[in-house]
Parts: sequence; C-alpha cells; structure tokens
Amino acid sequence: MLIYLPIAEMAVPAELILLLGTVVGLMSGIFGVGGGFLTTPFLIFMGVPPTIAVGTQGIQLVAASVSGVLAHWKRGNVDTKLGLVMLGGSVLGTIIGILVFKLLEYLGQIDVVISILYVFLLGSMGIMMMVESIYALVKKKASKKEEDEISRFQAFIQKWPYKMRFPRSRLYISALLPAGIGFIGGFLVSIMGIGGGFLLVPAMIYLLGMPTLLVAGTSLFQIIFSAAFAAMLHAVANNTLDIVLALLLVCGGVIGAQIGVRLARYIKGAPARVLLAFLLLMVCFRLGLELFIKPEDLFTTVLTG
Amino acid sequence: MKQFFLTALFALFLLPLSSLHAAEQPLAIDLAEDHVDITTGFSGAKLILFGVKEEPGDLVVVLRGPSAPTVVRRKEQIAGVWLNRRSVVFEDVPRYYDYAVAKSEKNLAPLSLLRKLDIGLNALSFTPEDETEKEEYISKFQEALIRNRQTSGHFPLQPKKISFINDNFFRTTLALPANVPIGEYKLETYLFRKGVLLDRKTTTLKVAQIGASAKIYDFAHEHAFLYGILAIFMAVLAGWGANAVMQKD
Repeated sequence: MLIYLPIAEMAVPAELILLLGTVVGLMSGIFGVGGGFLTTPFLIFMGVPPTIAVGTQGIQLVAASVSGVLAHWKRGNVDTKLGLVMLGGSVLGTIIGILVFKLLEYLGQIDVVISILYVFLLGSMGIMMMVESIYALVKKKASKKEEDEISRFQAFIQKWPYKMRFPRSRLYISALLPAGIGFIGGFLVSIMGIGGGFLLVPAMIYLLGMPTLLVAGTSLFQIIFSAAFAAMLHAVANNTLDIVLALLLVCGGVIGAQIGVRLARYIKGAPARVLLAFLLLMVCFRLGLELFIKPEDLFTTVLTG
Repeated sequence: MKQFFLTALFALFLLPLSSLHAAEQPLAIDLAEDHVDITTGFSGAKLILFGVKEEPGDLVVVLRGPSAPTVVRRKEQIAGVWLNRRSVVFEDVPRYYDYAVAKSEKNLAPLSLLRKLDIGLNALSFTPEDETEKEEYISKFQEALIRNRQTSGHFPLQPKKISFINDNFFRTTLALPANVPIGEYKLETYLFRKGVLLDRKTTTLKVAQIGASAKIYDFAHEHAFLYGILAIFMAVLAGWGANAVMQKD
C-alpha cells in the first residue's frame, strides 16, 4: 500500500517502511543499539532524500531510547550527572553537525560524505567488535598488552583539567572527556541520523572506565535528548522532519522491540555481538561498493528551490 | 413554451455564430478534471484531455510542471572514490514534463520552431546559469538531466498517443506518477499544418496536497517548532507505551 509522505512529497510503500522499523526495533531489542545505521541508508536507497531520512530518523531514536532507558532507570542503571555532562557536549556537536550538513548539501557532497562516514564507522566498529567477541568466545581474558595500553591511556586522561566527581559511576575524571564523547555522539546524530550507541558504549567503557552496568542506560539517556534536539533543529531550520514517515518507523520499531526482547533470551553475549558485527560489516560493504564501483550514470540531477 | 422559444432563438442565432467562431479558432479543448488532489493514499492520477479541431492539421499536447533551478553534477574518481566534481546549474527546468502526439513529432514542424515552443524531448533546451561554458560541455549535462529525470519518472521515455474518436474529436490520457511534484501545471495543445502553428490552447492544472496531508504540510512549515515538539511527544509516548507493555509480561 502506497502512503504519501507530506514533507518528503513522495509516496512510499507503507509496509516496507513498517518492516524496516520492525527490523530496527528487533535489533534494539536484541542488541540494545538504536539501529539508525540501517534506517538512514535504506531510506536513501528507497529514494527518500538524505535530508528527510536524517531529519526524521531522530524521532525513531527518541522512541527507541525512551523505551530502553525506562527499563534501565527502574534498576537504577543511569548515571544522570554523567549523562548531563555528555549532553552538554552533544548539544554543541549537534549544532555543528547541522551546520556541516547544510554546507555539504550546498556543495553537493552530502551523499558521498554520509556514505564515507558510514563505511568508516561501520567498518572499524564491525571489525573491532568481531575480533573482540571472537576473542571472548575462544578465550576469556584480553591480552596483557591491551590492558596495559588502556590503563596507560586512563592515566593520561587523569591529568586533564576540569575534574569532576561522578559518584554513581565512582569516577573522578575531567568533564571534558564525557563532554567530548557526547560531542561526537551529537555530531553523528545530526549528520548521519544515528544515535551512535555502538560507538558511545565502548568509548564509555574503555575511555571513561565506567561500570559496564551503567553504560547502556546512561548512553540511552543522553541519546534521547540529543536525538530530540537534532530532530527539533531539522524540523525548524530545514523543514525535513516527516511525521508520517516517523510514525511508520516508530510503529514498526515498537512491534520489533517486543519481538526482539523475547528473542534476546535465546541469543546472548558474544554470539550476539558476532551477529551484530556481521550486520555492521554487511551494511558497510554495501555502501562501500557504491563509493568505489563506477556508478551506472555519472550524472545526478537535483532540483532546488 | 418560453423555454422552447429560447432554445429556438439559440439555434437560430447563436449556433451559426458559434460555428463561425470555431472557424476562427480551430481548436477547443477541455480537461476532465482541472485539479489533482494528493491525499495520504495518493498513488498517481490520470489526466484526460478532450478536444475538437475544426481544421485539418497535426496535434501535440504538452504538459509542463512548475519550473525550478536544477543542478546537474558529474562524478569523477578521486583516490578511488567516486565524488561529485563538476556541476552545471540550469535555470527554469520544469519539474515535470510529458507530451502526446498524433503522429511522430519529427514531421510536425521545423526543429527551430519546436525548440522555441519546447515541444518534444529532442527539442527541449534549458538555459545554463553560466553561459560562458562551451556548448558541447553544456549539452552533455543537459542530456544527463533529461536522462536522470526520465529515470525518476518525471520526463517521458517516449511521447504518449493522441487518439481520435472521429476526424475532429480527439482525446489523450497522461498518467501522473505517485511522486508527481506539486504546483501549477500548464497543459498546452498545439495545432500545426505543414509546419506552421495554426492555433494553441492553454489550460492550467493544479496539483496540490489536500486533507490531512495538506494540513500536516502547512503545519510543519508555519509552526515548525510546535510540529517538532509534537513529533517528539509522539515518540516519547510510543517509547513509554512499548516499555509499559513489555513490563506486563
């Protein structure tokens, strides 16, 4: 069934968008990631303008993060103070991201930059996750050398200024660090339409040295606000938020998350991460092909005004 | 009785007058519907044009959407990656173009006249913003523009047919796709004889969103802030609802 998107000014098959939302919801249920890295490329592939895809994706992220954070909140697994400091950096990252997005759109490079960022991020994260989880499957402990490197880095960041106490996480670190991680998160939300959970979570574990139990909840808590802020900016500054598209994605997402949470009982830990890494690499490979293989038509046409 | 007299009067005086009128204006057309309404369930529309020609000649019907400046970009390989490099901006390119002919447009009129009137894919020409560029270079980008717009379904691959119900009475059907751009359209009918333009008639067509779809569009543009808040509120509600349902089991 075709449904007309009033802001994108085009018709799309409703069931396909619902299915996409469901798959993304399924991922968030099983792996605890937002799944924006699937939505944006797929919407663009369907002919939805990149601006609309990225502008609308924030709403889906808000829905997924709210439902995720509530569960963590109940168990007390959210470090609000650290989350708010991250949010400070993320707001700045979001604003700069939106400006960069507009500039790239004007220069006609937005599609390519989005693709390159995706290939780079998904590729590196996918490989790291794959190596780490296979490692975890084969033998339990990380090598001594890696542990040394991480602790040396943590010693280095102890010297950073603006130190702050985060009692919930039992951390005494420079506020610049969580704010910096938040900045990258905000930038990714506004330019790529992804929450960046798959990037933030390892950064919070390894760079901040946060207790693993608090990481997911705190990162989701931060993503709610930065995604909402990005969606707001896209709606006001660019008029690129399509509420009909958002509604379809969110509906699918809610259904998918239900199934995902039930499936998560059967797929756990390292095997789940191998599966997620495989998915990241698949999307990376698909987008990478487009960058490096000669396009069928070298010319593209964009209507303005 | 009075009505009978009126009709008779009409037949006596007005009819000959109107046929006289018709000889001066050899072409008359009518569009079955002068508006296309885009609703949430919109999946395309059909435009049906009827017309009468009082004199022999060749017909062409051209549909033009609202125009907009259009950028055509060409990719080049840089360090292994295909990037957009050169671009040409054309002013006033119709967002939608389609046409119908009774016979091949090649023999209709001299190409110069067809070019002037923008009739047919071969005669379409757009003005580049920067006119100092070489003609050969520009024409490559223009060809690409037409090809790209054909792929997206906004320019026709080939002309549609005009069919005749009798010698004078004709009709043609133009199909509009689901992604038809909104705005004011112009539908023009031309009558040529031996390469000379005898007559042309223009009607307009309004393609617009109506109902819920239009309300959302207007609201999003006029109250962008409120619209954003509403969307976020919807997302929070959905997320909270999903969580509440999950907690139950």
